[in-house]
Amino acid sequence: MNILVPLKPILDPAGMIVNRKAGRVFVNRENYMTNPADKRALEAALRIKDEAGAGVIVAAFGPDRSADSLLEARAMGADRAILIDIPSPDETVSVHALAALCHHLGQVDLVIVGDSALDTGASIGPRLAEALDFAFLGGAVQCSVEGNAARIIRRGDSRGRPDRASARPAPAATAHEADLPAVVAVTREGAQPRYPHGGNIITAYRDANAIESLSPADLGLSDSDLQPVAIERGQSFPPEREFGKQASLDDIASVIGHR
Amino acid sequence: MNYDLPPEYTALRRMMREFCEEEIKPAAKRIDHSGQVPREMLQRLGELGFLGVPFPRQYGGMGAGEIGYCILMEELNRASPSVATIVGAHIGIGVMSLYLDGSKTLQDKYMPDLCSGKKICAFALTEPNAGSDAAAIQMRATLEGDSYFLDGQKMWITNGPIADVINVLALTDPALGARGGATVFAVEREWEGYSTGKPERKMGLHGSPTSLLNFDNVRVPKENIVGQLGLGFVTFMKTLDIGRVSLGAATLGGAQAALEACVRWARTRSQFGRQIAHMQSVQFIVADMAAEIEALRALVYRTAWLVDTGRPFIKEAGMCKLLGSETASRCIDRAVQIHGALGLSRDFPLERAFRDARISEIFEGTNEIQRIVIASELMQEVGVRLRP
Repeated sequence: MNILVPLKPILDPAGMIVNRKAGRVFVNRENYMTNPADKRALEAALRIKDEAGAGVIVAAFGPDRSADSLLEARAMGADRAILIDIPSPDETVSVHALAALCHHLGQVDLVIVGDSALDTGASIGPRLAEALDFAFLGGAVQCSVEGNAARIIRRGDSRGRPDRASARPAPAATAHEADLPAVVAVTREGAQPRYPHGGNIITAYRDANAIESLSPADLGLSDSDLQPVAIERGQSFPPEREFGKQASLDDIASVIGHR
Repeated sequence: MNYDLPPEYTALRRMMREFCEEEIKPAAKRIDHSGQVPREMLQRLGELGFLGVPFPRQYGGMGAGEIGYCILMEELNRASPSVATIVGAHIGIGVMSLYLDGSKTLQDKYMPDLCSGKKICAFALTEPNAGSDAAAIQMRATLEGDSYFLDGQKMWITNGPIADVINVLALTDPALGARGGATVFAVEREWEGYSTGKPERKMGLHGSPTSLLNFDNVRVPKENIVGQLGLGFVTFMKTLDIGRVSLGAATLGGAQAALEACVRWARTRSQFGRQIAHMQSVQFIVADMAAEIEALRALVYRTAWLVDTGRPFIKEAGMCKLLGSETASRCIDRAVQIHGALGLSRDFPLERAFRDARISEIFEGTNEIQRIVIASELMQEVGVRLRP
């Protein structure tokens, strides 16, 4: 079984300061890190590999900034790392390229993605499932493969309120299953990613063949596949949110009374 | 000239920093109060390769050389000097003496368990009457049949109470003394006649246990001689030479933590109606700290590079330990001053850092010994040999 995990390097938010007055985001330190949800997706894939055996393939878009994410994934236990030579694609192009990569690789049974990127975008999962005609399971905090099905645990909304008197009740969770092949989107509440063994970091970085490069032509992508559908015209802040009103008990009682 | 750390080391530092921030730093206060580092934490360090950074992969090490090891010590000491000291005594002098001079059989026997954290190592040189004058050791090793019998006492041994394998220097030929008549033996904790004293009560490094070691006719098979018979003093001095580099790296981490605390504090603390960052008295202090730390960093990593490229490094290693320990003490002292009363409060990490830093000017060769090492290397360059 093969599992594909796309990884997105993003600017580390710890190195940025948002200045609303100046209308700008100042980048103090330009550090890149793997998108946290993507890293949890990788951990989910590696756990399936540990338990059931699977080939884990990670992919990222390049040429810049992606090497660290890919090599770190190799050190954590990914079997192959693929750099797709398309610089900073939007989600539409990403979906085209990832779908093409699945076809190029042949037997990909499961794609595990992070459900959202810290910077922009949260639609890779469902769009990729649609493009590949795979089943889609979103919001996973846990993912396993049982027989020919992917099984996920999704955390419910009814997270028990913290109660000092009793132990905090376990959050309600639901299990969902879909036949393979499938796309699973893991949230940032998925399992904590493992630390790689330091020796594996050294080995991965010193291995000249640790990353395989594929060009759009290798994947059979046409120029139209590489056309972004949206064009960025500029950036601005969303309008400032106003404080809500503090309601008295009487207000609440009257609202309930109306029902 | 290229000052870029190769990308594998940058990635290694990123991982180590993350681990130290998430798993060690939050426990640092508890480690200091309880007086011990949980064994599970050491095991976890072993699983990730932290306990064998400079040693080859075949022994379960990380294969990251002296540079990788310096990065580890810097990051560990930035989070918890107690943990750093346990790891430093384990790798830097304990396992290092086995690795430098031990026989292949001995290395195969002990190094995999030591690098993976199943066992912890100690290095035993100091005695009640042999401190800076290390050649004055009195511990005896007498040959009977196929074995040596060790008799004597070692003092102030870092990791003493927790070590499973102890590399110990004893006189095999008292007539020759330490130079020519001393030998290193690898001793296992379970062997009869070996016992450890109560953990010492120290000002700092509460989580790093130190004790005396008693050897009451401990039988050690000949195979457990580390290096050559009679040349143990050389083995130990070689080990200490190299250990000074990573010790400098550790002090670098401590000084760096103090600087970071000051910069954060300068931003949050206000007096006279503004952040104290705007006051020159504070600016001058952090600027001095930053400059000294940067100089230390350059020295430490250049020396690590000398080690990894097989060049002479003894003079520079002495400088790492000397400059490092004094820079760290100075920086932490100033950091306490900037923090005012908070700097001395037991509820804040600087008070602990202040207590933890002082020992660096003493252990593994006092700074006075470091000055002698540096001077004798300097004099040797002009053909003057100083008597030990």
